[in-house]
Amino acid sequence: MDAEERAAVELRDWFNGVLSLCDRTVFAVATREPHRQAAVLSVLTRNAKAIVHGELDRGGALYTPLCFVLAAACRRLDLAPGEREWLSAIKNVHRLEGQLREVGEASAWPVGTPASIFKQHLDEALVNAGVTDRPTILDHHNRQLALGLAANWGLRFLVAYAMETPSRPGAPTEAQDLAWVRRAVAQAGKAA
Amino acid sequence: MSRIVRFQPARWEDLEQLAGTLSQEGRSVSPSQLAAMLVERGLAELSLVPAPGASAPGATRAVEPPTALLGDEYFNGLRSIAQCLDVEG
Repeated sequence: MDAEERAAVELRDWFNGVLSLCDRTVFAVATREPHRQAAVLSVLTRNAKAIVHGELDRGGALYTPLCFVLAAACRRLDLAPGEREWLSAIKNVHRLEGQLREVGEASAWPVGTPASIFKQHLDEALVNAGVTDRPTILDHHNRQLALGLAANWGLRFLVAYAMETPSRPGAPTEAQDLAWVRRAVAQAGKAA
Repeated sequence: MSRIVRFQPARWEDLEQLAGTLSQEGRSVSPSQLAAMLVERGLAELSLVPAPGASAPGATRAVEPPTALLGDEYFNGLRSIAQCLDVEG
């Protein structure tokens, strides 16, 4: 198992923990399934709006809404990103990072960073999925597909966002927060 | 100003909102243009547009492809939710 595969396994386990935590907290406000589904949708729309209206920062402010959006989208679509999906996200971010570095200052316009590019795709997919305060013209099936794409871009945005968020001074804590995600992915990046 | 073709107020508001969204994306679209586009698209998909001057029952003319809406292009090749999560290799 190489460093990227190890990071993918760590992220898979970490995200399963996020899902489990959401199941036991914000999604658990009701026992009846229709109410539970309503709670999932409520968490999704509230946090999708926070992401779409939020600026890409370097302090990790989007971490919590992003986790909620990913968890709610996965529960709503019955998706469970496994090791392969996380590995693909890690490779995708590393590859894009290399491509952007190659383009560098020679580009005709500021190309942005991997996090900024994946956030743009995530924002647009969330809008198209009809889970923000902006209208969508898609039918139900295509809105579901848009939400699936939002999950896809969301995994990649999380990886890129973690890599671009500087670590805070001080000793690392035990918490599996954005800094923890960054450490997991950074080790894979060094080895790649 | 009254419209010749009347819509339910809520539906007209939907059209206004969606036309506004499309216009923000660079195309200037009025609510009535969007309504016409959606009707044309619906008829084309049904393939029931009668040929001009055709008298024979069931005669149809070749219809123009419907105006592409976002959903047609955005999800080209994506059929299931599972396909939305990209996996390399």
